[in-house]
Amino acid sequence: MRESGLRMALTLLIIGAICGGLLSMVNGFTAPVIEERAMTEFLQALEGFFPEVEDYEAQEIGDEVFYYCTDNSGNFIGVVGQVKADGYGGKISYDLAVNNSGDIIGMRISSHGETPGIGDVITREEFQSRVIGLNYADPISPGVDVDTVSGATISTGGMLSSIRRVMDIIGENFMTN
Amino acid sequence: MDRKLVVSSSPHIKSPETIRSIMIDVLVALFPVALMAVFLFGFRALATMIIAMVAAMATEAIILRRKNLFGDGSAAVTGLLLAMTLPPAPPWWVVVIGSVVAIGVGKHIYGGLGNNIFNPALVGRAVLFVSWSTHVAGNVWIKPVPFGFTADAVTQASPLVTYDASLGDLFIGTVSGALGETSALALIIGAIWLFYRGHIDWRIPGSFIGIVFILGLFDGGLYMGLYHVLAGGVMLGALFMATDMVTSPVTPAGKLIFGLGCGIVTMAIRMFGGMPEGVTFGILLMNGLTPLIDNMTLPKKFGEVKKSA
Amino acid sequence: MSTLAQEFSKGLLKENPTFRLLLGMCPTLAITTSAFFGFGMGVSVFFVLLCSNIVISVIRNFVPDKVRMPAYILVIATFVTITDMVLNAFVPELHKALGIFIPLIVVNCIIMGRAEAFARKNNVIRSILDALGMGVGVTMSLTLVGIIRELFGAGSIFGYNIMGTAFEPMGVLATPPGAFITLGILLGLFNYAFKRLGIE
Repeated sequence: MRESGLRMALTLLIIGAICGGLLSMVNGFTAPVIEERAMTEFLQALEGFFPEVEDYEAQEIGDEVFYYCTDNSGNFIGVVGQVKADGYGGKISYDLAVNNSGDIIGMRISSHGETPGIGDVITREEFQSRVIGLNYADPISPGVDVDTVSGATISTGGMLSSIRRVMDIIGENFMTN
Repeated sequence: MDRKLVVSSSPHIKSPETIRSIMIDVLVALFPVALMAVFLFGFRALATMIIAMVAAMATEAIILRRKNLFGDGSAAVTGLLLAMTLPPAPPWWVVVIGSVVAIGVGKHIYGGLGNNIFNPALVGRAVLFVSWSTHVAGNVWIKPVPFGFTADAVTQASPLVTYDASLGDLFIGTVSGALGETSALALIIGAIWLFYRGHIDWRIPGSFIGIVFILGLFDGGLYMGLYHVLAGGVMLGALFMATDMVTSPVTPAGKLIFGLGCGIVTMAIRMFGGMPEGVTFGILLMNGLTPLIDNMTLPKKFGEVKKSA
Repeated sequence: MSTLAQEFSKGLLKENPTFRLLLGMCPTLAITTSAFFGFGMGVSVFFVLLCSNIVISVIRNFVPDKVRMPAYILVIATFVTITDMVLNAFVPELHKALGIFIPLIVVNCIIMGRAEAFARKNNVIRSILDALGMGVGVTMSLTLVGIIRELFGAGSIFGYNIMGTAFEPMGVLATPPGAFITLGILLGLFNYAFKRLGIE
């Protein structure tokens, strides 16, 4: 059997195509289930952030979604952003809850690829408590009013710069009224 | 045994020093410390020490399938040293597990006496510390009552948390703390015996205590320098744990480096770490580096030509 | 040539991937904090191993030698991604706990090892038996480590409290050093047992 370059390339191409097809088939089957579950989890988190929430309205800004929350008399009580940060192991998806005076009241990491035991400090209380309570008028800048976690500078620094960006969006779009 | 050791014909000079005689010397050296512990903390301290020693000896006897409980005495020393690092009256099962881990995991898994990398007593303490910190650290330090052999136990915070004990109390030992660590006086008396018998070298304790003192100066002048030396486990660690022959370097320069390393890690944990005390982990860490230190500080052979790099 | 029964049984004890071949140590140490996680990881590896062994054995005669590695990686990565997606959809707790270690099954030495050392040279039937044996071996081993660490580190097995309420868990076993200590002791015991039984 002569092993020409063409034959090698063709073999890999065929295997790649079959694998790709198989994956997209399975993905088509599992993706809706995952999405539905993620939505239920998100709604639970949203009610955890704002127990008095009655209604919410999704608003797409850029490629991220912000939920404008109101209580039973229609008053604005806060915003929850479904946003993304750049981490060490790809995108970190998280929810950031901001009340009507612009303070961060909660956050929830919904998926991340950070190193277990190092970068995943972002999912833990010790990091999150540094962020909660900050206002959109605060600098939210590493070393100024929030410290990064040593050893996990990329994960935590990425989170902070993303929070700054999200807070700008929230301040601009929701805090005017 | 390999018969690689070529022995010339008699007569031979035989050293009277055996493992057993060294271990008995260590036990003698620990006697004033143990006495002080009973004097300060009462009979519960005696019970802790006896449980630890018996459990350690029994574990070793079972592992070696030995009928003689005392054997070469090394297990008794390990058990007693472990007890010295524990609070006066932890639950008995904590003491037993500590001894079993010290002898089983700390010593015999590596091949027994002489082959262990880490100080067995400290391995036992580290495992207890990580597993049951509520029993061996935190709110367990019994207030010492001299001559109050059966007094009720009243707990108080460690002087390494409060930083308010007087230097005199710290030297005599009338402060709360682990069994064997409170009284610098008793530890020094014990260590003098070991120095006299030639079992320990001044370099490790000297550099260990020295660096702790110097770093302590930065933490608040002369007073804090002395406080850091006298409070907590530095004296016990420097004189009895770090000097363990098996797990510390053999070269003179290596001993100095080893002691410095122990002291620096201890002070780093005390001043910047989340735990009040760092002697255990300081010594364990340096134990791990011992082979490297020995390698690094090998003396140059006479007539050896330096290899070009 | 060994018998078919031997192809299966060798992975259980004699060539147990974890305790004898010492392959796939990273997940063994990292995720076995509980019996369920160990079992879940074992089953995930089992599934990927079985599928990749079958496929690689089937395509072994068509793939040119020079590109076999990329071809194997493609196949393995596909099955790992499928596992990842299915776990995410139907067993979210396990997916969350195993996290990054599921995608890392791609580089798990057991799977590459069996592909390169076995499936490449043997027919489909033998490859299936090999994967079954090795997969069961991995699952048993990881579950065993998980059971020990969970029993002493948390007082339960598969989440059921065994030790009663008076038991105070030995926290060190739930930490990474505890994983090394547990694995080390188990390796020692297995070596001792094998020596006693006269297996190699």
